[in-house]
Amino acid sequence: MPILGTIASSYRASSPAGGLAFESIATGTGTGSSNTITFSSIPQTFKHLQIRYIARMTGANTGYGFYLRVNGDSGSSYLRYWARGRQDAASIAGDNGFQTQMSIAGVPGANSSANIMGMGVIDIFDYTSTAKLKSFKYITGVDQNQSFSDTYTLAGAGLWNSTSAITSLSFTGDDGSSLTTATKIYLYGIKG
Amino acid sequence: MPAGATFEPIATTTVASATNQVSFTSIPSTYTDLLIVALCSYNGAGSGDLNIQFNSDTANNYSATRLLNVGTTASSATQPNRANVLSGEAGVARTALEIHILSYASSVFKNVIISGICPSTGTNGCWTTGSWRSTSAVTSVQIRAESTPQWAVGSTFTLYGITGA
Repeated sequence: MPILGTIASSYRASSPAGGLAFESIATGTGTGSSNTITFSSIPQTFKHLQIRYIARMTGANTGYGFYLRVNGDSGSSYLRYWARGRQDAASIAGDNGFQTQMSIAGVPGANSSANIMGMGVIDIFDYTSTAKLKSFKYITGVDQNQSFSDTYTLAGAGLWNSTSAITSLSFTGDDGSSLTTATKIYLYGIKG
Repeated sequence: MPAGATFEPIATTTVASATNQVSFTSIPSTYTDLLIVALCSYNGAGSGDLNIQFNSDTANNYSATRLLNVGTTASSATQPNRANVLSGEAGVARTALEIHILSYASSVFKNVIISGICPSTGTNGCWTTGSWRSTSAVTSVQIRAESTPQWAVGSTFTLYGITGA
């Protein structure tokens, strides 16, 4: 069987002139004693944001909800639609009206096998615009090496019903549990 | 790595003769995530799945849930205890893929998110989340065509490193 291999370390790119188009802004790490990670004072110098994460909760379940809030807004301001694969079935659904937070994923807990983490990549478009409601695109999932309710793949689109610029983002797991110290949430800015 | 480089191309492979497998080896552990962007196709008629392995591990240390749509029909399958992470189909028409490998050098299991358009006999949208049950750092990635067609000449695969703060 022919194999084409490329030695990754043989290439290096130079930094582009004029600065970086994709920059790391901040990293949030779980403490084991809080269910929330917040990014505040997000600089307004980018066009879009991207969040990349791995997450797990300390509580004794195999799955917990994982939610997003913008600018501390706990009002009925969030809407989402998604396609999901779970237990060998595909489904599509949406929120029945605006919610008080955006449910973006589930994450595993202490009753999941060790070293299993929930995963996701979330894109937020035009986050500084004061003329647009804020749009989200995300792909999230949990793989627990078995077909049950806490293993799934989710492709979703969300809305924050506000034209305010986004200055903070909070990620929260269900109450009664905490984000583990292995939890990492990375915030990036993308220039347009 | 140049100072301040958050999103950096590491390597690009362009298929010069048909092959069943494209791989990236000797991947440095200095990034947070890896991203492979592929524009690829098979060299023969028909279509088939593609899959991912890490560090040439061919044991049943992988699992994934694949969400597919073919035309207007959606389907899903969870596949535990596999010898690779299974993604959607590729075919003679160009397949565009993003393969995200999160926290690839960390001490937890390695998570993989694959998304893309995989046109074959119809138009497939595919989204896969899966994992490689190893706490070892990813040092190589194998991208394999599962069935008889091979990766066609001109197929390109680019590996990027993404560095968090």
